[in-house]
Amino acid sequence: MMARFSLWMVLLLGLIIGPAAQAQSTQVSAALIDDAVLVTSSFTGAKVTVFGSVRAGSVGRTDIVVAVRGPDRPAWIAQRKRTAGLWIGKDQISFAAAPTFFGVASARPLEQIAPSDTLSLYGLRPKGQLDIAKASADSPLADKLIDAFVAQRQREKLYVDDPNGVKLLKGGLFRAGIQMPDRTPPGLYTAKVMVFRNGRPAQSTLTTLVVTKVGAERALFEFARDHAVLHGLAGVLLALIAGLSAAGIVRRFAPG
Amino acid sequence: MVCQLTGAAFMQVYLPIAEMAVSPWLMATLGLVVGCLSGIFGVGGGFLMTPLLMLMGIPAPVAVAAGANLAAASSMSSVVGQFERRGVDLRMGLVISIGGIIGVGIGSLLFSWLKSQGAAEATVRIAYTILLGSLGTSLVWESLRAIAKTRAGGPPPNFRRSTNDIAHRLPFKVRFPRSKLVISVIPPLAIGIGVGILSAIMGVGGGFILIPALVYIIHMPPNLVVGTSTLQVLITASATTFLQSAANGSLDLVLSALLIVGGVMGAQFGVIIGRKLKGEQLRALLGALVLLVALRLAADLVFVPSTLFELSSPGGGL
Repeated sequence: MMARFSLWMVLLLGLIIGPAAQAQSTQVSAALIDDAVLVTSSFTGAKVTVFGSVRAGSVGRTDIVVAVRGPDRPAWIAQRKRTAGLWIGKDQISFAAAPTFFGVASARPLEQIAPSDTLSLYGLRPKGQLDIAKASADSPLADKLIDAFVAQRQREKLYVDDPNGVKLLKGGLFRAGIQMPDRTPPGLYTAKVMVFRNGRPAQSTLTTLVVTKVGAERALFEFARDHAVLHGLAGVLLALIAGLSAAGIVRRFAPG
Repeated sequence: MVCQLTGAAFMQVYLPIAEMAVSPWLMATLGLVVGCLSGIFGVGGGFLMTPLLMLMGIPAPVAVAAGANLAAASSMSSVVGQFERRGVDLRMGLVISIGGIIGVGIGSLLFSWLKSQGAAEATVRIAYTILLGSLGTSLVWESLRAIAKTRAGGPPPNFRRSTNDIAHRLPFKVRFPRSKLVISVIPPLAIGIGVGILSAIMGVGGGFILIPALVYIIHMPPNLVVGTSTLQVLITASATTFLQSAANGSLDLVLSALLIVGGVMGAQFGVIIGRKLKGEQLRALLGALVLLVALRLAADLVFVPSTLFELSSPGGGL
């Protein structure tokens, strides 16, 4: 409810302020359609939709890029290697922090919007977001493994780059959609809207959304976290009772 | 590949600890198949379920806990039937389980040490391959010979022929009335410890190794082997389930429930199927199964693996 209200406020403000602003300055305002993603037992992923309006000069080209970034968590990647003729060895590097989700949406490929260094500088490339652990920083394989890490997470749809994710509507309005997969972990997410003017970043705005477990999912998760011993006993009990009752049912219907 | 496998069915259920969605039908079917095998052979099925879950993209600690929980449930469901047809040597089962619990403790320490040396995974994989390979080969070989002998019309080989082997020569003799054995308590204890170590390191119930040990080392009567091993699997797998939750927080009750629903039913069918098969046939089948898993592992060691890279789970915690 609040989200919808603030959305309309944003659009309204955009319409009022927009024309009054100086001709050369760029104005952007944006809001999320839903600022909470609820993880229920039927959660299979969610689409985050950002709505907004942009006012920019009429000279040159305006591009909108929306990035949604999940909470950072530690991570590692290992590459198998052949040792003494057998595939038993491993080269591993660790990340002190890596975004659990990193989705970027734009209306055309990022490479066409701005030079690569600009994209990295403004945090639109997942590679630049990885914080490699101190112990792994000197590894000669670091570069290769970082690339492989990003590639793998892209395959798992955790790192997404969608060049058709932003739809430009009439009157400087835009809508961006970023799909998050079921493996997206709960936490606080940041959505950043950036406006590029002729390949240069002109304006940006930040907003947050929360991905949270609710209902039975939340109850089970908190039970496991807060009462690990009882949770373990519940698992054993579940196994014993299920085993006993299956034995009872089968005996009743299929004796012998 | 992960998405295709789990997305095959029309409905998905979200797992609160693994933090991902899976198809409940696929999980229940997996439980059914593995439970059926565990009912037939008296193995927990952990050595099949755990790698299968990991193949589907479920984080390894969650897979280990779920495999152990399923093993506990399906062995509970089949041990009831085994007790009813008096197929369990309770005293033997308890002696082995005491060893098993000691072994789980040793195994956990050993695993931490190997891990600190950076040699945990390599050791486990090589040990697993050698162990399963030799076990499977000897099971298949022995039972094929026995079957051939029976076909030829000779009397079935007597596994209890020897009264002069290691189990009889060691001290601390104990009577096992159900098995009609008077043997030293050391071999069953040692077997239990060995199985416990393997269970802690590899996340398996250990039935697949216990059955040949009971047949070839203890010389138990064949009709008691499966029941007694099932009892031991029940105790070890329950302990592993509990420890995984209490120490690692990696037990996912939703995943467990899905696997168990299929698993306990499968175990019942398994017991019925197992009753219709002869001892040698059972051992040949188990041997073939073990051999298949060993070959799969060996292939991973020798050939270029399909996935060169391994990643931590998205959540990072597991």
